[in-house]
Amino acid sequence: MIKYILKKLLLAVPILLGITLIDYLIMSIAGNPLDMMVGPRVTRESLAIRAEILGLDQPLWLQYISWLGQVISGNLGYSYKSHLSVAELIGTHIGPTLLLTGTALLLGMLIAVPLGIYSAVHRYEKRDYVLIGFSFGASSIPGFFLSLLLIYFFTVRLGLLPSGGMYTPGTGGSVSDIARHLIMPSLVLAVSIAGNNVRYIRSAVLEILDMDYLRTARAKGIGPALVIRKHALRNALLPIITVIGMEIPVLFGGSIIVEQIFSWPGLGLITMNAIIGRDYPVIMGVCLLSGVVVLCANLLTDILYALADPTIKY
Amino acid sequence: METPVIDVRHLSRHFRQKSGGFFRGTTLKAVDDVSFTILPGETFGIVGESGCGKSTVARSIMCLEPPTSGEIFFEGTRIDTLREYRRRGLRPRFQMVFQDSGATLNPRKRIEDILREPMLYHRIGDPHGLDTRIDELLMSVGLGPQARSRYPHEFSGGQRQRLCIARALSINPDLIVLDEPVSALDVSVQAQILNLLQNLQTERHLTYLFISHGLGAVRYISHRIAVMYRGRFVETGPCQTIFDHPAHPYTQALIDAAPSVKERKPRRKLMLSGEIGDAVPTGACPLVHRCPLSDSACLHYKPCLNPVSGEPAHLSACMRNLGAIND
Amino acid sequence: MNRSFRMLLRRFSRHKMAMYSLVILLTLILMAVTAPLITPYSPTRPSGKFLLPPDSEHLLGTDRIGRDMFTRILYAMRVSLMVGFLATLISTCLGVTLGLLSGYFGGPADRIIMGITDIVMSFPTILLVLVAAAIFKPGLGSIVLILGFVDWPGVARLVRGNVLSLRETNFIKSDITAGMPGRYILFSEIQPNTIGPVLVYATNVFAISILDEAALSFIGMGIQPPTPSLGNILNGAESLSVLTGKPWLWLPAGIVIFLLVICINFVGDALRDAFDPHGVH
Repeated sequence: MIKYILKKLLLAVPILLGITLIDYLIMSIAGNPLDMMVGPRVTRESLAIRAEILGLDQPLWLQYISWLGQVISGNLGYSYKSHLSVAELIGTHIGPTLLLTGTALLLGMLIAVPLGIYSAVHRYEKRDYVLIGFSFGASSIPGFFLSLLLIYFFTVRLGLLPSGGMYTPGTGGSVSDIARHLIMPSLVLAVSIAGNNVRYIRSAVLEILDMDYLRTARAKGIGPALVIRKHALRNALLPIITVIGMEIPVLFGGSIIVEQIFSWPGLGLITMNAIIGRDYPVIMGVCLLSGVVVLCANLLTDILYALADPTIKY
Repeated sequence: METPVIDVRHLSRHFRQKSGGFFRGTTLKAVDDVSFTILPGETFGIVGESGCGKSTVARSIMCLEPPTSGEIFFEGTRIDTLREYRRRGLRPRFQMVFQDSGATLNPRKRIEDILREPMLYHRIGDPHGLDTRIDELLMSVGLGPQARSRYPHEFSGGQRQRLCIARALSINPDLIVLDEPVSALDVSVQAQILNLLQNLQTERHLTYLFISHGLGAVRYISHRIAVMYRGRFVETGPCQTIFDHPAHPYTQALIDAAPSVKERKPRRKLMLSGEIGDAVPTGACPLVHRCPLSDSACLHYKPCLNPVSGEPAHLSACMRNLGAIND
Repeated sequence: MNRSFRMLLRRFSRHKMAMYSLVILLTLILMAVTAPLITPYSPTRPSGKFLLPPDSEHLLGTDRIGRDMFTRILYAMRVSLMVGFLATLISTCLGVTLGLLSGYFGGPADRIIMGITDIVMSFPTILLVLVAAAIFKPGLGSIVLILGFVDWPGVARLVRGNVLSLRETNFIKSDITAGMPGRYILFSEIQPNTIGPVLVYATNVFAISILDEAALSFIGMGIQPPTPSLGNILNGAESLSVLTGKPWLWLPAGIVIFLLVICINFVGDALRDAFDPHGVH
């Protein structure tokens, strides 16, 4: 098992390198960040000095290597814009993002798992079709459109919920205040998670319900509720683990736009600002982080899978 | 002496099994030092339990996977070391019919296309006369011309096996390797297919390598047979001789295990214990733990094929002569 | 008509939702294609007073410089459908080609191609798209290319998996033993058998591409005004006065995106059932 994890970790290294390399190449095609600094009050000389300080006068591969060397020593570089260290920037913004995505994942699964199982148990009945229809609807509605609808109803019409930020400015941010701000953005993310996964969990449970051993259990006269609770749920754990693993990268991406709409002070917000401002070190840092997050999610899925399924050996 | 159609010399095929640590791993000897020849017009049968390596022998001969060691000659040409593009011209002359597993014919193509395309590629016959050739082929395997425009899923298992034989015949082979061709079929259909194969053999002077786990089919169609156990031939010889006077305890046990309607004289049956996969110490007879006749000598000696009592074509890989228990 | 195609059609038509969806989808596509015939106005030039609420002359009102909203949505649908279709075409072609090569030849080619799919799939799609969109000049061509190059790994994996399992089938082995050349096996025997799953996956990519394009244009990094796209029409709704007082400026565009995507999803779902060989007959 430990060997398996080590092997997976080793395999992740070239993928991570590939991620950074592709990033770097795309951005070098894009152009020079110095172009963004050009203005009436900036002289050529001062630009050249800046270029030297930032190491932008060196050939591309040298810049990449020096950046990589820094990363290995734990230094993600400094933002061109705010001159803050990238690690620090990410550190201060990762909390809100984790809060948002974590809540959304929990909420999404709390909706998807019971509905998926319910739908599977009542397959080919009217309520099954209705649920499937709803799940298609939930995964077809654009997140930003749903955000606008929610803001329209809950903020503009009903005046119940705040439309942006993480807490009311001026206050310290009590738990209930943050929770009120959290409802809408996490709901938007949760709806798309639930929409995609109700169908997935339904078909996974259906597959299990069709297995011979469950037929045997039913034939022994065990009632449907007990069959599901005792036999099916435990085996349905595997697809649920897979789903969570698959959702993490999607969530990470989805939060960028949702954070933008709700001005949620997380990673998505600094990512968007960095992208617009061509703040390379920040973009690279976020990409690297997302790569690490995705790879960790995959690894964690594999491990949980191995723990939950006794037939898998490594 | 006549050139054999197939000449297999010391064929071995080993698989590395990943288990345990990083670099350790055991080797599975799917085929272990197997040699045989098949003469033109002959049917050579290989019989053995599933997993004994008989299909691996077939795939090696068809060059679907390379042998670990050994040599394979087809009509005097060594084929296992040829590059694929050089082998391609030779390929039509040895064909294979697989066990019907539902995917023996491309589900998206009509029968006529399945039959026509290889003939077109290998320029067999006049391109304009292919239609009549397809009809003839279908007729020769006992199907009507209305089968042409159908899809594979519209046929029964037996009919599909006829179509596979037609496909193999279409490019004029000398040898056909039949890997469990009737095992998935009903007994009555089995007999039809076996008769068809025999008729085709005399009409077209075909050579067969017939592989099966069913003794009945092998006995019915083969001239010579080999009994395979754990990757090795344990007994070979003329069909009749082996069934009448089996020399190897494993052969004896196989014959005894098969149900028979006409039991001539009641006698003590030879029964094996254990499973085929049970571990055997290196250097011991592969059957040592399962054979009721084994003693301590069998633990230390791995017998090779040796002639049995005077008949040079009958070989057996056992330390003892089994003549005594046959009565 | 081909027998298996007829069977496909019969199994597809059993899905009522998918049949409705197909009708709606085809209607919307027809409206988008024949937009100049349906509406007398131009999507980029004012055609009346600004900020008119819907009436009989302007079915969905006018925007803040007096352009007819119904016209703009028709033309926006054109753009969104085209972006989605072209992006899907690119990613499907790329994915099928690379998946076939990877699965059939194996070895180093397989390892390199699968390594690249691992890398591309490790990015959250939208992050990759955003980075790329920020770098290349936003516009129709670059959006199509970006979306096309993001979604191919899924197709490649799907095709590769199919090729690997097809290679083990006896009819492919029969082709090899009959001495048929690689190009015949790959393109005449294997590839047609992967069309079903690829088509199903492609409908999914189509839906996702339309959503991604809308999201990109919504945050101003996709199709640029004055060219209308369903996403950049919604962009205006971020201002509070539009959101509260002038729903005709944003609600219809959102509903159209939703309608397009859900119809495509329903069609894809029915296709999956129709292609599934183990499905109930």
